[in-house]
Amino acid sequence: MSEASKDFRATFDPEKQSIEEALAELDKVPKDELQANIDSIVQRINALEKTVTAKISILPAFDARMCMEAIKSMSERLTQLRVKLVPKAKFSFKSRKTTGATPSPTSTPKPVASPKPAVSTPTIDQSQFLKFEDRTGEHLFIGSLSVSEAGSGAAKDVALTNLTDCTINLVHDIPLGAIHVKNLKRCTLVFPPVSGSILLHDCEGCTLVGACHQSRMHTSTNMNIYIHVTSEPIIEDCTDMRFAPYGQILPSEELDRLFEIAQLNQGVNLYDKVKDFNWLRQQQSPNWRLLEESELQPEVVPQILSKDRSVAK
Amino acid sequence: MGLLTILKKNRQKEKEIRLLMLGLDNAGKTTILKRINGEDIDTISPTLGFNIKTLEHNGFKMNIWDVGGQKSIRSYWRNYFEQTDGLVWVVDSADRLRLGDCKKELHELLQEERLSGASLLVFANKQDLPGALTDDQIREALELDSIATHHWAILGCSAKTGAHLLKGMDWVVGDIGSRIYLLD
Repeated sequence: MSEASKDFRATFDPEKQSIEEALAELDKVPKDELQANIDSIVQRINALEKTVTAKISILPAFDARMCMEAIKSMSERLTQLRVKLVPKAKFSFKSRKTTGATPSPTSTPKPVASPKPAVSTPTIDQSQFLKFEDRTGEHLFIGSLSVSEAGSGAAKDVALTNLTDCTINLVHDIPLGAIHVKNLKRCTLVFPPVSGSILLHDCEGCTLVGACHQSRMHTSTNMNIYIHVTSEPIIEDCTDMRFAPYGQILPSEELDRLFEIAQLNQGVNLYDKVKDFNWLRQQQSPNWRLLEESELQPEVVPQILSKDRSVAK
Repeated sequence: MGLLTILKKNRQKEKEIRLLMLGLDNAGKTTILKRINGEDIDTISPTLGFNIKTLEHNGFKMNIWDVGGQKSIRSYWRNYFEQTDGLVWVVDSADRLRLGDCKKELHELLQEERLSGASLLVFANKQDLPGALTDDQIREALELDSIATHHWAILGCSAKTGAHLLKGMDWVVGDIGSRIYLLD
């Protein structure tokens, strides 16, 4: 054993033993002192871990590993005990609190009586969430979804998941926030200007027409994207992505109104400033290009919109 | 006097705090940073790298590092762990599809040795959206109650309206301040 290691173990080992004893005694501690005891053990474990971290460069690898494992096992033991002894550690800021409710910083999750009954899984309010999923060969129109009146006027998020050979029209009076698109094959999508982002994952062979603040596209290929985006759009793990401007999809008065609702600047469109996370160089990325004039398909949008013309105005 | 003591004394004098802001892409990290700093938030592009801002808050000098959350650059997060006093984990409260990813990434970070001393503030962002989950729901979904290794707190906020951002900063600065600068 080296000198440095011997010195270190002389301080580490007794403290470790002492913490382990405290852990073993934890179930005998009276309830009202339990949290304080747990807090103090957490701090001691953290402090001990810090001493190891500080010495890691001079300790032999084996010793360092043994110490880290001892710390890990103590933390795990503490977690188990905490779960067993303090079943409902509730702690969070409540947004309605107005006073300076800064929690005592020396305590880790402090049990605070929760005014609400505990919920085992997050209850998800589906009424605020618009979605189409698992469809093949259909035309999908957002106006056909029932939208809850609650919070109307505020933008709603949309999720489009697992659609194949579908046409999707989201142009309607419902203000939209973010649009999450996942696993679409050979679909055509027309979106109104939205106030949030368009997020795309795992799509192939689609045509997308949309306007948004941010465009983030991932693991997709062979896509035609007609977009109005007020920040630099990004692609990641994508190939064969082709970009073009959004265009005049509606009569200008109507379109102006939708842009205004979405608080999007119609004068700024960075559709041609695509950033590729897989191509961090000055030269043009091979994964995207702009659509040539001759490749544009201006007939696509009217075809889709006309299917729902009576509602879409 | 060890080197660590000297370094610590030195930091005490400056009252400097290093915060690392992480989270999945589109969580709103850069928007939070710019909002706190009073900058325009309408033209923010997805972060391809990192942003850093230095702010004064409650007598502390805060260096806030905002690192991009795209999948392909998450592996670079580790380059920013050193000397981190506080981790600010930002969640898009309306992004239900990726809450699982979000939980996984957070709990992986908490295993990280170099972050072991850091206070954790979870911002349940985008509370302005009607479809947003509440801070309680996010706490359940991310299993924050199982965290025993870090001081943590969760706070619902909106980078768009600015709601509760400063309150969150107050907590994290207070927690770090009492730990590093007052306890010893």
